[in-house]
Amino acid sequence: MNEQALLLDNDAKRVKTAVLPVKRVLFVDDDQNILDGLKRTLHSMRTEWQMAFSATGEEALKKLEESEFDVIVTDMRMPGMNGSELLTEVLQRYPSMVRIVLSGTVEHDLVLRSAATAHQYLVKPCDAATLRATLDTALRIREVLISPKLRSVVSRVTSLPSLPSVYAKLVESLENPEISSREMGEIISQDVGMTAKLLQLANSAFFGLYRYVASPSEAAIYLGLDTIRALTLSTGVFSVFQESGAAELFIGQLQRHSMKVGMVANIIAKRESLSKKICDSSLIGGLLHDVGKLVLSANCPEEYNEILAVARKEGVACYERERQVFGATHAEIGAYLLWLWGLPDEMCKAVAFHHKPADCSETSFTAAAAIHMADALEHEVDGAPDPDCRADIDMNYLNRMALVDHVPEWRRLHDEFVNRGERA
Amino acid sequence: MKILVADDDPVFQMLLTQMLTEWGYDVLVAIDGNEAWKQVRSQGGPRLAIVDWVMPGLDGLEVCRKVRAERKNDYVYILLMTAKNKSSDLLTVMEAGADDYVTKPFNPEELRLRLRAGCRVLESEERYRVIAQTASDGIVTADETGRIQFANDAAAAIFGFSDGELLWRDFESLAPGYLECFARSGGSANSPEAPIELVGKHKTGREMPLEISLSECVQGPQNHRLTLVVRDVTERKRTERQVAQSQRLESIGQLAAGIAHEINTPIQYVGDNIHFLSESFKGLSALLAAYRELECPAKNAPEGPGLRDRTARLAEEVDIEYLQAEIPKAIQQSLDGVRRVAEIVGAMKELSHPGTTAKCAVDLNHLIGNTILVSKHAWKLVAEVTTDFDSELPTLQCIAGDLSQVILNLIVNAADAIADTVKDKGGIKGRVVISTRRCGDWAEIRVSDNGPGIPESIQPRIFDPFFTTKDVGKGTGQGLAIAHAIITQKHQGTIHLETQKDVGATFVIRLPIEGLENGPAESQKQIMVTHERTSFIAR
Repeated sequence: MNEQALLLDNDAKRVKTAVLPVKRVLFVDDDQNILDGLKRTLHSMRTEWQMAFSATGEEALKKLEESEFDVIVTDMRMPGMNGSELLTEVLQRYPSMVRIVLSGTVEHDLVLRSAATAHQYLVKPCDAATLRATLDTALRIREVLISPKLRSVVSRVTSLPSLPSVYAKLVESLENPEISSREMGEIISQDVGMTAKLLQLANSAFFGLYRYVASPSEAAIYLGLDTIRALTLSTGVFSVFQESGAAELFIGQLQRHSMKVGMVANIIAKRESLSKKICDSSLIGGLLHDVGKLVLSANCPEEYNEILAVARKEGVACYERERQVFGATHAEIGAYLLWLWGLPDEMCKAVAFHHKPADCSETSFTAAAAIHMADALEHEVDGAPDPDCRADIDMNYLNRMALVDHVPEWRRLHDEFVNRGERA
Repeated sequence: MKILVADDDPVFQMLLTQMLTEWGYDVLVAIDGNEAWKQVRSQGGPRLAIVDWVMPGLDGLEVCRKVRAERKNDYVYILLMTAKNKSSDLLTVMEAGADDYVTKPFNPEELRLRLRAGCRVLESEERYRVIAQTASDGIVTADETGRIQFANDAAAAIFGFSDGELLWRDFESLAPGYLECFARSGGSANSPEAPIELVGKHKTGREMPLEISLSECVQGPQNHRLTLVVRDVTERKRTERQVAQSQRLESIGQLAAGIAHEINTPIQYVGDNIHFLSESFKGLSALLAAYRELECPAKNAPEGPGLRDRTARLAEEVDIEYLQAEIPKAIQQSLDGVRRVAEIVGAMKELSHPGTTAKCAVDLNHLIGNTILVSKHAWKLVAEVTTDFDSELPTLQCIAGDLSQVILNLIVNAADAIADTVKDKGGIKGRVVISTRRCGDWAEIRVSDNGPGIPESIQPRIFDPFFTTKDVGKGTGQGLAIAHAIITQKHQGTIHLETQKDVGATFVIRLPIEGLENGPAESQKQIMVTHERTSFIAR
């Protein structure tokens, strides 16, 4: 969401920028005054961004046919094709584009419809700094995923598959008039995909002003039961994992593993007396740390199954194999999605660097580090999803941070947590 | 059934008691008139009585007169027994209030049949009494002067009286002006289906809204009787107010959402432009400083060319040509935006400000213009709204807030109707035309759309409360019902529909130009009232 999202130092960036073509943004609004205002306020960015402006959805689609764009920023309420319809078209024809809404509408219906297709939602009036930061992040995160094909895959994702059992529980709970938002949030927090989607909607301005929402419960309280009901039942922002057998087993294991990692990372972060923000990011980042695997297994199932099989056979960590095949690991793919969806930066970073916490920060203990430890400790235990899909503890990092002697305590906390879970 | 035998002759008492018991009656005996009177008056006392004319104390005639004067709700059927059989005597008996008579010596079979006739009368009376008492509406009958002859429990409860207290009161004291009100409502006394509403008085002096239906029965040449069915509509009035209020909130809510959007848009570009102006100013300041330096030759002589280059580079960086072209436009558009916001806020303020129920002079054209402006969000994507105003139209006495709510409801309905067809017509916007015109003593407002029209099948129902063709959650079906109430009840105007399939629909509102006091509606009605009064108030 802001400058911190800058992942690479300036030198590296220059190299990458040279590889990537110019960044192009298309603005769509039926009010010429708005377009003129945007053009002027972003005039200072003219050397970095190439900007185009369209007054209707139809005209925008014509422009997209003529040349390539990276980001589209559209109004919702327009004569003819509205913003939601335009974004649906864009999603189908140009899946790799980043789709952002900039709207002053307060019509709930229209907002709900855009919840499935827009990556982020900005409300008018939106100040220049926020607009610029949002566009900046959207354009910079491309550097996380160099491959356009992979960007298409992630960008096309409008929902992540949920386990049928959790989804059924959610639908059932929606029919219960007695249920509280908090309880609803607790159900959603049992599922990686639903958690990610809910946090996207709460952290972007889909249903109000910007705010930092770190947990599904908070998001559920903030959005309200009616909105969650409408989102679940009519717009289908949550989807159910359809396949059964080995794939379902994989997803089930992934979900359980993710929940444990989130909780253990939270325990470790608390033990290290980190700030509340980092503790929250450890919990939710931990829950979401393998969201990239969910994206890959749902969207490229054959390739991904092969990766898992090869990793198992050759005894390498699966993310090594992911990098060989896709040019990026599930950590980066997951982080890219979360950045795209406008989740808090700490959370995205925690996911991005959960294999190599040193890349996140060499000097402080971050949520990425807590998740890294929790992940590694979980993998040590029998019954981890892929015994071969190891995640070794980054000892060099711990040495540099002088935290090596903390490891036994973390292990003890982890074992205590696991035992508590088994007793319960 | 209980029967009273009042006779001072013990033999006769015995004879009758035996006979009546055999016929299935439950016999009570009184040995004189006073005793008979006491028994008849007592709670749950006999309703059927055989009374001898000649008795010690009160005689039979006096008992009859007392019973009839008592005006109790429960009717007592009196059969007088007498040895006198001259026709003048019989007249005396009937005049005193007896229902029937038997002469002594009597034929037992005749007595049996006459009693049976009495029972039939009492049964019928009882049946209607029970119906009246059970009714939840107040039921009152009054004589031709309006004095109450009968009132059921519900009526007593409505006015706060206890059982029987209402008898012989003038109904006028409970519902002042009810007869005039009936006359004015245009209903006649013989059409009980047109109830009136008026303010009634509770025993405590509290006022309450009542709904009263009236029917007049003519019983014989001199006996007019009024039957009044009275209902306390305090609760219903409250509900109606709430419904009206919620519709108002609904339209305000729709408006607010639209207005938020209409205001957000200019604020977005005004903000962007000011941001741009501020950045531009920074660039221009730097450039200005550089030019100033250039103008000081003494200071800059040694490094002149370098400074010149730097200044040129700065001018390029600042993009001076772009700024020169864009700054005036940015300022102009910002001013436009601010004016737009001010217009919307101003219109909104004017519409919501009067907020009271008081009438004041209203410029109809201005009010409609404002309403179009604030409802822009509802129509701008689907229709062009044009106006055709009669600039000569005088001001009207209106409740501005209510009237603009009516116009708003009609505009929103027209836009909704058009919206359904815009897609079919390949995205071509529809048309809404709002015109004002003077027609004699009336001001006429026409709201026309070129939507699909309103099908004949639903035309009779469009002004009904809760009737809606919109999807659940889209409309409460109150818009036109409220519009109708506001126009006809609060402004004494009329509203009707002209429509043709696939051509469109036009709502025509007519409002009296002089307002309520001496407007055309009133003068027309006056004639009717006078007419009604002559026919009806024949007290």
